[in-house]
Amino acid sequence: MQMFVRPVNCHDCGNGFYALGHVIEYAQQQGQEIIDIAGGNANKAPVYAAIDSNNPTHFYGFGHGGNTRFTGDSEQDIFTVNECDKLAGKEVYLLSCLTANALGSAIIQNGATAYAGYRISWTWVSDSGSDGDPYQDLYAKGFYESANELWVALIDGKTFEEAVQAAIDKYNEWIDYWFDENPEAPQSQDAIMWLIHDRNGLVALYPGMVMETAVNWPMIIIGASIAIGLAYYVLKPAPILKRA
Amino acid sequence: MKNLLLKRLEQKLAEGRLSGTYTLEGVYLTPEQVLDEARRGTPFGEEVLFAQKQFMDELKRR
Repeated sequence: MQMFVRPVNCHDCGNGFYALGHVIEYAQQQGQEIIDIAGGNANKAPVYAAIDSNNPTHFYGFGHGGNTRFTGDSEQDIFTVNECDKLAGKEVYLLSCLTANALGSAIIQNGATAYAGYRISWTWVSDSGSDGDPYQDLYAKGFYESANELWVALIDGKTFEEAVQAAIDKYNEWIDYWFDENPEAPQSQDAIMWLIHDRNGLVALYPGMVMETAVNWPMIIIGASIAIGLAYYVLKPAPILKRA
Repeated sequence: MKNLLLKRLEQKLAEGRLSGTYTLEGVYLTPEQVLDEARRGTPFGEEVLFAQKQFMDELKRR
């Protein structure tokens, strides 16, 4: 069973809400059992309750995020590095900003069987705002269709690794489209620029792997201490020597 | 390198080819704000510069 979480009332979440709707529709067409936690229900308590009662094997979440958190409709945390054990035993894909930098590793450490997400601010261009269906927008469609491809590939029965590659391939298709078929469109260069950015920011993690760019606080603290010590050593006033 | 990237972004803004951006951090930035972030070197501004560099690398590759 697959569980989708798609908020709509958070800032600029309309596009993602409708984009995930396409994946849900596709899953239903394929006869797959899904749970759609949408709109105002896409918050911590209803999400946790749905996980407890349905025990889905796959968790697909769209929403705002940061290095250590993934948020819902109210922009309050659903998962954090300190609270993500509900995802144990599941394949997880978060279409969100920056979660691959720390939350992804925490999700794996808490028992998820696979995680995919982004180590960058997932960025898109739209000609029609962020409220409607991005598949109706010349620019936004490529971004959401590429991100959705990972889910679509999993619905088609591909492995997680193959699904990640399918998403990368879809990003590449759209990059080629803007380069080769529609280069004169006013925002074609920025569409390419951000598609490359998002594609390169997609990260997959599995048990036993550690995210290379994860925030490593102990090393940051050690590094900062060394830097401060060196600065003090270099900048401290020279001792005044006096003759007795 | 940073100056070159900023110059290119300024040029795109002048040509009307720098787009506003939406992110899943929840902030919409106008083209002017995108350039401003890059100039100020904010975390997102750094991403803008890096994205522009990746785009220019891809152009060279093609």
